[in-house]
Formats: sequence, structure tokens, C-alpha cells
Amino acid sequence: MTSTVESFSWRFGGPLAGLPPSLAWSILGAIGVAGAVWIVIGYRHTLVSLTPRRRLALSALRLFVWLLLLVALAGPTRVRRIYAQKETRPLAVLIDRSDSMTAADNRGARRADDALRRWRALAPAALETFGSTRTFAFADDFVSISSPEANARLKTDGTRVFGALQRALAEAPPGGWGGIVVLTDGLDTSGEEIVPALNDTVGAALAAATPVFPLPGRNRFAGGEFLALRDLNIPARVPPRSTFRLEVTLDSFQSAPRTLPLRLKVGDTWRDPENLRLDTGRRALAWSVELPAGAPGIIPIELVAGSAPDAPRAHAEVVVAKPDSTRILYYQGALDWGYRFLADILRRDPAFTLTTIFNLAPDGRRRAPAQVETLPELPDTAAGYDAFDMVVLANAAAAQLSLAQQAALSAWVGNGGVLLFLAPDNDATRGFAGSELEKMLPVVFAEAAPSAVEDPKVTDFRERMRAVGGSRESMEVPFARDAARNTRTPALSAFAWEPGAVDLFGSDLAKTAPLFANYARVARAKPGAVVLARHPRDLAPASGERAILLAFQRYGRGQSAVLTSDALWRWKLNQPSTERGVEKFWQNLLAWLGRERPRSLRFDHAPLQVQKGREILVRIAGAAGSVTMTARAEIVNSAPVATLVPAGEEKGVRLFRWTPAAEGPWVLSARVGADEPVRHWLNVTARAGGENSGLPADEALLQTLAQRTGGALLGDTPPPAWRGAAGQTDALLRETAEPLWHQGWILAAILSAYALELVLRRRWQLL
Amino acid sequence: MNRKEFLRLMALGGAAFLGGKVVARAADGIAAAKTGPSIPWGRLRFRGRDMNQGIDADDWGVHPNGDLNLIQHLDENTTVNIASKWNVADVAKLDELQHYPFLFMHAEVPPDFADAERANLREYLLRGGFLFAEDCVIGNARMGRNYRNDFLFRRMAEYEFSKILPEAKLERLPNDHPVFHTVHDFRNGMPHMQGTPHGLHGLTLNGRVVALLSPSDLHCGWTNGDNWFGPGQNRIALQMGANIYAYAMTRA
Repeated sequence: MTSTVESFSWRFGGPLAGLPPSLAWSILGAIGVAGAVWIVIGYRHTLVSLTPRRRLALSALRLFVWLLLLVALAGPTRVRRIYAQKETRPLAVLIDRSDSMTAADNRGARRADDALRRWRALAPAALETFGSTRTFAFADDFVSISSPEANARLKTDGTRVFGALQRALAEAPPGGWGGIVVLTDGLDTSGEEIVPALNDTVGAALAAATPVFPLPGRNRFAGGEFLALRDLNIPARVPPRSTFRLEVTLDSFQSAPRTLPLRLKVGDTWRDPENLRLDTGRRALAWSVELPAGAPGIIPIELVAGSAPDAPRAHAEVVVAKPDSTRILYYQGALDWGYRFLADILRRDPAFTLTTIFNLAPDGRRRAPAQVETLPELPDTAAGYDAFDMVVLANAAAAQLSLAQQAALSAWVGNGGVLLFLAPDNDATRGFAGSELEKMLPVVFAEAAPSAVEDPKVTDFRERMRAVGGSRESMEVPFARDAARNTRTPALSAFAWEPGAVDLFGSDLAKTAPLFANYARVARAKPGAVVLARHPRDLAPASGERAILLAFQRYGRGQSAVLTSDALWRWKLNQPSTERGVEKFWQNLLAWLGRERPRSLRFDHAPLQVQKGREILVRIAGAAGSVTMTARAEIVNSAPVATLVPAGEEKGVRLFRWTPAAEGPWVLSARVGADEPVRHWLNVTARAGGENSGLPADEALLQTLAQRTGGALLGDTPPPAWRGAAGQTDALLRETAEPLWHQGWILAAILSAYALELVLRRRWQLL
Repeated sequence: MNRKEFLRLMALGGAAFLGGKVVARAADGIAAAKTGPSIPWGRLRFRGRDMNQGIDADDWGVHPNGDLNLIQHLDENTTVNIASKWNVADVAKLDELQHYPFLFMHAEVPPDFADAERANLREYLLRGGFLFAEDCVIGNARMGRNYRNDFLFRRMAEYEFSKILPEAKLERLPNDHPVFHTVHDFRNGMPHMQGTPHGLHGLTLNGRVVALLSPSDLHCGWTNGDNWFGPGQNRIALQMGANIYAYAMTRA
């Protein structure tokens, strides 16, 4: 359908074309007034005296011509616009009224209420976008209702999510639905196979050009008690004789608090059970433990949550092997001698590769020493750090790191990177207080007063020498002798190791105490940080404990460490050249920090439990070649091995599709070429049935449904597609402009008035 | 607020508007880049041997003002947080040498090291210390030779280094060597102030330059270069000094 709108506008031509109308009118008005004044004055000073009536008549004729010319210049135009009217198709709103949506959790919250509350906030935008809505309720069956709050007679002990969507699509008005909003938890309990039902629904929605907008209803739980292992996180590969961290996350819903024995088997040894407290309601519990890696080999790990025979359990394994070289990005904020000594140590050790960024001059000038790998600047995206295992920030000032660079570093460390921060001095570290960088470091920086380093005697001597021309033996020799007598060197102090350092580093490292002269004071260690070394005497004013020299903490999946001294060049110069304590310290510290950095083939966020018959995507990271993925049911030795189908790649992570065919423990194996495979164990369970199965809303399924139909998972704000559509007006199909000053009568009027004026001037002897 | 305060405030505001931001930013840049504990400068104290007068115990400290000028240049033009102080490290005392990562050796007359002193220097270099040795070219009368002498350079190159670190290799550094391009570009290699232009030599041990030896008297350029060598030489000498210092810090 089209509509036509006619309007009138001024379209200035000539030099006025393109000017803003107000400016064009101003210019034209000024010209018009000037011309009128000139006309009036001109007829007041004619060679032949005119009577007032004749003067008025001639002036009026000339002003008429002038006015018409100006109007023609302004370009009066008739504009005709033809619009295609916006097509609006109604929106269908499907509301899940099944038992899982209407059952209250331990706080009395219902998924249906949660979804409806958010739908009410979105409804005005939906109405503006789609014009009208129609509402349906569904559970095991499907009915039309007058409003989202209206009652409906439904059989609620089952849910047909896909059936309801297909029914709504089948009953669409002519032209179809503009979209379907479905308020649900996504738990289809009809017994249909999920994948075919999903495919059928997506196909129908695409055929009708109808996007689906799921709005998940959430609450803590609406079923019976349960306990499940959600995540087990360990490094796939660690260096020999190091330590590594095992982290487990449990999902629990309890009607009353109880204690859960968590049992861990490392290798062939069961460790003493650790009792976890499970509180009432739905909880996610995290538990972690540091484990020794020992000699090269494979460490099998088994975790059992509870003492019942059917208690949730998980298997994993860690490969203990010599690590690949640790790739270090060394950022030198201000030049310091520590780099020369540390880099010399790392240069001789093939276990490390070094890439540097130097700030040589205050103006930010950077020039890299030849034959050294360099970067021009710290990356400002997390992906920019992926070529490295560790970043060392030495003598950096807060002003040198942009917010984007700090945020990128933080994201990279949170995702498994390692940061070693060499705190430069009190003043510079104070600049990091409250920064993005400080958030991930294990310490809180202290405030401190600046200190002066200028020696007044030296300044005085320099000024006097300048005054006399730069050299005079009678003044220089006494100065040099006096300086030799008064040269003072700082006393070095030794690190005082904390007991935890011996556990983590081993007693070999802790036997050597690094020496230092200066250190930056920090206020305190953060909760969760591990302090490895302290000052032998100095106390931190804020905490009253001995000042921190070395500390580290977990940050997300990575680690950050702070050394409050410089890179310990004084220690190296203080040691006999045959002594290797400095070398051991740096090699061990850096290798220990980088020990868990995942580089080799590994499973990425692989689930511990999946449902039979339900397709999942298995993610493999760190693959440097073609990956072969297999799945085998573990309890049946003769079970056929299924090869998983590759499903593309996402940010360097290989994806494989897998639909478990049978219940029980399964093992997934990934290998590159003839290398040893990496394995992941998981449990395949029967699909939860019934409305009170206790499963949370299946948002992953709803997200897939939305993405594949061109819709979006609804949150608290309207999706971008709605906002864009709501702001749209009808589309302009065609516009025609007809200049009115082209009309012949206007030209005739101008010429007639001018001709009459000439005739009268002739008659009154002005020509 | 009285009229005087108002005018002062306006003047400050105007200054900030016209140029203050630029000045403040530059000052911030220098302040931000000066991080870390201050680094001490060390001059090597040693005995020299004068052909006419025998042992010279004071020649090692010639023109200390030159060192101070370089320290000031480093402080203002690089990110090195260097202490404005002139320290002395006696070659006879290893426990004095070990406090200075960079030692500057300068004199008009060649050194007269004892074996113990050579051993100290050797140990200092093996631990990772860096030595920059340079001729002070004023030895015409004292050494019974011409004005353009190279006594310290030749003694170090031909005798002392082979005694101190016989396993190291001393060679002239080509113009494309990083030391000539670390902070400032010197495409023609070592700028020469006075003396015999042998060029800058590096003493390399296990792939690492541990000492530099120069006959070109950069130090006199630091001291009073423009008056002694013509306009601009002071700046050039200081820039090459900054190159040498920064090179030693950034090369493992």
C-alpha cells in the first residue's frame, strides 16, 4: 500500500543553494530591503520632478517586479512524496503455564512470575514495534487467552514447548506473525526428541519469516533435592615437581543444611575426605586444592561428592611433563639494570623466550636493541597477549598504561594468563591505587610521600664548575677525594620466606634468600593472596605485619604476582660469579608462575554431565594440527568408538558435535596425529522427565532457538531489532518536486509590470 | 576574593589554557616515566702511571663535572631514574665495585693495575657489571708525546683486557651496532671529540658486550664540549653517552 503527501517548500537556487533556510532567507531579505530602499530613493531623485501619486505608482510597479524576482530566487516548490506504508504483523505471546513454571522455589519465587514481570516491562516496546499482540497459554495443550494474566484451563503436568510454537505458527493470521515471544523455562517434557523438534520448529519459523524471542523464566529451583558436579578444572599438563590447582564447582539444592564428604583420589591414593557444608536452597559451591605434580607421568584423579554408591563423581587426568618454553613479554616502563641481569639469565635458558617493550625516553620513544624480539606497544586487546604465557611489568607507571591496555591484561589474566608486576617504588605504585591493574594484583598499594634524590653538594659543585668553564684541577681533585671518602653504599637485606613458599617452591628455592636494597611499600595483601616473602624487619604501617616482598594470587583462571623490589640486580652483583642462586631463583619463580598456562591440547569448558540423546558441542583448545575426536562408553569395553563430527572453529577453539547414545560414564579423547591423547570423562544421564525434575531453565536451548530463527533471548531491555523497528517511519518510495516559479503567469506578470513601468516612465518623460 | 586574587586566578587560568596543558603533560610524562629505585653512578678509582712523574693517584677523577652533566642529561632525556650523585668505586675493593652496575673509567694516563685489581675487575664483569673506559686526551706534556694521545685506550686494548678477561674478544664496533642507535641515531658511528679516532671497541664475552673502550674523549664533550670542540659537540657527546648507558641496560 502507498500513500501520497503533498507539501510546499522553498528550494533556494544559485549562490543560495545549499545554505540553511534561515541563512538564505536572511541574505535574501537583506538584498530585498536594500533593493527596496534603492528603488524608493531612486524615484525620489528623478531628473524630472514627479508628483507624489506618479512617484508612488512607479515605485509600486518596480517594487512588485523586485518582489517577484526575489520570490523566484527563493524557489517556491510543490513536493509530492509517495510512501510505502510500514507493514506491521502482530506479535504472538506464548506463556508457559506448566507446573515447572508455576511451582515456587524455597523463597516463594515462581518462574512464571519472573518471566511475566520482565514481559510487562518489554510489552510497550513490543506494541510499538508490532502494533498488536495476541496471547496464548500452553502447557501440555494450547489455548488462546485475552491477556497474559487471564486464566486458562490447561493440563499442566507436561510441557510441549516446540508443539506450542508450531501450533502458534500454524494458526498465524494472514501474513504471519511479526514475531513470537515465548515465556518459558525451555523444559519440554513431552518426550519428543529435542533435536528433531528444534529443527522442525526452526524450519517452520523460517518459512513464515517469524523470529522467536524466548523470555526465560528463572527461579532458584522448583523440584526436589539434588547435588551435581558442575565443573572440574585442572591443567592438562604441568611441569614435573611443581604444584597445580584442582578446582571443583558443585550445584546443590537442599531443603535442610547438611554436610557433604568430598573424597579425592590422586593417583592410587585416596586423600582424607573434606567435609563441605551444603546450606539450604540452591547453591553453587566452589572448592579447590593445591596438588603436587611429582615425577613425569600421568596422574589420574577421581573426585566423589558424597558417600552414597550413586554419589556424583568425576574423573580427570593431568600429564606431568617437561613444559614447552615459557614465552615472556617483558614491559620495561622505565630503564632499570634489572633487565640486563634477568634477560641474561633467561637468554641462556631454552625454557624461556623473551619479547621486550622498552620505554627509553620520557616522550615515549621506543627503540629496541637489535637481535631482541620486541613489540611496539602493549596490546590493548586480550587476544594480543595470546602469543605469550606471561607478562612482566617492570617499573611501569600508571600513566603509561591506557585503560584499554589494563582491561585487556586483566581479561587475559582472568582467562589463564600470568602477570608478574615488579612494583617500581612507593610513588609509582601509588599511581596504580584503584586502577584496573590493581584489581587483579594480590596486594593493595599504599600511599607514600615522594622522596628526593638530589645531592646538594653535587649540585653546588656542578654549578661552580659551570661558572668557571667546566674544569679546574684545583677544585676537581678535592671534590673527587671528598667523594671517595664519603661514598656510601646501601646495606642489602635478605628475603624472609614465609612457610607457604617452601610448600609451593620447594625447599631448594627457599634455601636461597634474594638480596635487595630498595622496595616499594604496599598496604596489605588481598584476601586470598598468598604472601611468599616478607621484609626481614620493616613493618607495614597499615597492617603491622612485616612488609610484603613477594605475593601471588589466583585471578580467574590465571595468576598474578607482585615483587615489590626491582629485578634484583644488586643481588646478582653481590654474588660470586660462580654462584647460581640468582639464576635458580628467577628460573624457578618464572617456571612456577607459568606452570599452568594452558598451551597444549585441552578440553575447554567441557561438561561433566550431559543428557542422553541431546547434542552438545565439545570444545578443544591448543590444537596445533588436525584433531581427531572420539567418544567411547567406558563401562562397556567392547563399545564401539564414535568419531565426533567437526563443527568449525571459534576463536582458535575447535568445535565437535556429539549426541550421546547411551547412559553411563563416557570418555572423550582428542589427539593430534600420533601424539598421546587428551581425555575427558563425563556422565551421560537419562533425560530428566516430568515437571518437577529440578532442572533449571534451559537457556542454552532457548538461545539456540532464538539465534536460528533470527530472534533474540529477551532480557530486561528490548532487543536491538525492536528498537530499530519502533523508530522506523513509512518508507519513502518516490519524491517529485515541481518548481512553481516556472509557471508562465509569473513571468508574464513580471514582464507586464515592467512594461507598464516603462510606458509610464516614457509618458511622464523619464525616458 | 579580592581584585589581586581574581587577577592572579585569571592569569593562571589563561596560562593553563594557552600552554599549561602542554607543559603539564610533558611534566607528567617525565614524572610518570621516572619509576623505580634511583640508580647510582660510579667512577672507577685506580692508579695511573705517568711517564714523567710515575704513579698518579688522582688522575682517575679528572673532570667529575662531565659525569654530572651526563647524569643530568640521562635524567632529563631518558627514563633512567639515576641519582644525581658522584660515587667512587675503588678497583682494589670488590665490595665497592659491586654496588654499581655501570662503572666509568676515565683518565689522562694509562692505568697501572695490580693483579688483585685485575681479578676484581674480572669478577665484576663476570657477575654482570658493565665498564665504560675512555681516554682523557690531554697527556701531551705528561707522557712526552704529542697532543693527540691514546694512552689509556692502547693500554687497555693491548694489555689490560687480555689480562682481565683473556677469553673475551675486543673488537671495533661497526656503525650499525645497536650502541649507536639505542636512543639516538649515530649513523656514522662513534662521534669523535679529540684524540686518535680508533672508534668504539666492545669487549664481548659469551655473546654479550661487557665493556666498551673509547679513545674519543666523549667525556670532555660532556664536561665542556662546546667550548673545547665547537658548537653542538656537547649535545652530541651527551647523546652518545646516553646511548652507551641505555645500551648497557637493555642488552643482555
